[in-house]
Amino acid sequence: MLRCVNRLNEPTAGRVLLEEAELTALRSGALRRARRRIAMIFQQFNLVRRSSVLKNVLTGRLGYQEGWRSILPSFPAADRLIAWRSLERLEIADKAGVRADSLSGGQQQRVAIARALAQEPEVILADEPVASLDPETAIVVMDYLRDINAGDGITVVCSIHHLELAKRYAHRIVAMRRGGLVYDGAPGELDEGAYRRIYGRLGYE
Amino acid sequence: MAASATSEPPRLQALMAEVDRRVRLERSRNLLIVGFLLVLVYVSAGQTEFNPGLLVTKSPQMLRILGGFLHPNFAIILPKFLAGSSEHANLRYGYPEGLLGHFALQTLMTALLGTFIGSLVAIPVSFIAARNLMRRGPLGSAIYFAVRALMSIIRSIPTLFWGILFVTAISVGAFAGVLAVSIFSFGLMSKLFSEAIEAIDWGQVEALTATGANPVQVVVHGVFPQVTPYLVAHLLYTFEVNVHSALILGAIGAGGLGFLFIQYSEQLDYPSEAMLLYVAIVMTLVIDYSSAAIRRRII
Repeated sequence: MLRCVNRLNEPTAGRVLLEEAELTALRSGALRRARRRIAMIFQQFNLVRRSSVLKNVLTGRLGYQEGWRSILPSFPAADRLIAWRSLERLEIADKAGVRADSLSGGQQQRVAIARALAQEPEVILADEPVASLDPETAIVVMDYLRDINAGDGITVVCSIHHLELAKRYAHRIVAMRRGGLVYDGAPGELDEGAYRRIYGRLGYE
Repeated sequence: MAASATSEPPRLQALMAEVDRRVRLERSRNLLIVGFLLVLVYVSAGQTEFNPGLLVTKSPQMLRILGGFLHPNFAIILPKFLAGSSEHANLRYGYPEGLLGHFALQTLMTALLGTFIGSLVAIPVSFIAARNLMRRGPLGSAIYFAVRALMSIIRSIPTLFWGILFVTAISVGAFAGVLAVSIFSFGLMSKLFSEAIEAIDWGQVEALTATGANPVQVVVHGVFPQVTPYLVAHLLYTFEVNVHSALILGAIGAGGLGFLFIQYSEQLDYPSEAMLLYVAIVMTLVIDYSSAAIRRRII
């Protein structure tokens, strides 16, 4: 579902709206400009593994570049500054020069968030951002996402299987089951009955 | 770059400067390597008498050949009774119509037989040439290195040279071509397939070892199922390469289309030469596309 928002996957039916703009109706150029406003982070981080951390974060600026210059490996100084600030924000600037695949999972996800932040987006789509991480690192990553949401006013839409994390971090929880909506409300109102509707007869925890 | 102009904390500024310095260093190193390679290219041009001017001065001759490509001699692909006795048929050279089909088939069969014989030997050998299976003791290592060395030696001799060796040692004809292609197939297939074996998931092997299976059982039930798609893919690839080799081998008298090609070109019969190349292109396209289709299905 998240991938339909920035149209990495095309929805078979329905529309996606972002502040009155119908994302599902956009064509190539306009779609790319819209994607610039919607950053994404992935379960498997999807960093360019052989590139340095800094280069990875700089790719967050690609949506703002036009013309032939943007295919060159160097980035404008202003973009470089934005990238450095994002890295600093995620407290991983120390690793700027090393290859992305030399980092641990949690560090890689922080770099991925820095890349998203460098995009200066209005929305961050987080597709199972902590499913590949151990519980402790997951908390660290979720904390960063919460801080970005609160401090920068960026909406974070996060898909997550772990209900405890969802309850702890979300302002609003939307639960889907077999393609249908089964819950939409505040985390506090999730009760035993809602659990059963979400997870079926097995219940949860 | 941006580091000095901003009001970032000093720690971050130092980091930025450090990374900038490293990037610059890396860039100048890469520039040095590229410069060195360009010098090598320049020297190579000198050593190979590289002379683009010849392309201009020889253009009339090239245009004549090109003209042949616009008017290929269709008569040579037709069976005898269809070609008739028109003057387009190159009976006057003593090569009857329909010959092309015969030689094309011979090229294909040379490739097929060579792939079969070469791979028949290469497949078992690949297992003793796989590092992960063999380097588990001194004896295995010794065998591994010996087999690897043999494979390298065989691969270092080009198919064309093998062909020349067999044509002189045995006789002119497709059999020499088959032998040359077989040996080449062995070299290529054993390299490709042994590397596929080296890339298997060792966890599956460990699981079978843990059941108490002996090494041969482990290979048969744990290694082989993992590599069968690659076996088929590499067989197809080897066959593709062999069709090309078989085409070339004809030129030295080892059967197939290459033989006709040399004849036509010695007689400056460009239309027939062109027709032959068209046939070779179509053959290659059909084989490449069908093997790509098969590969997609199995991998």
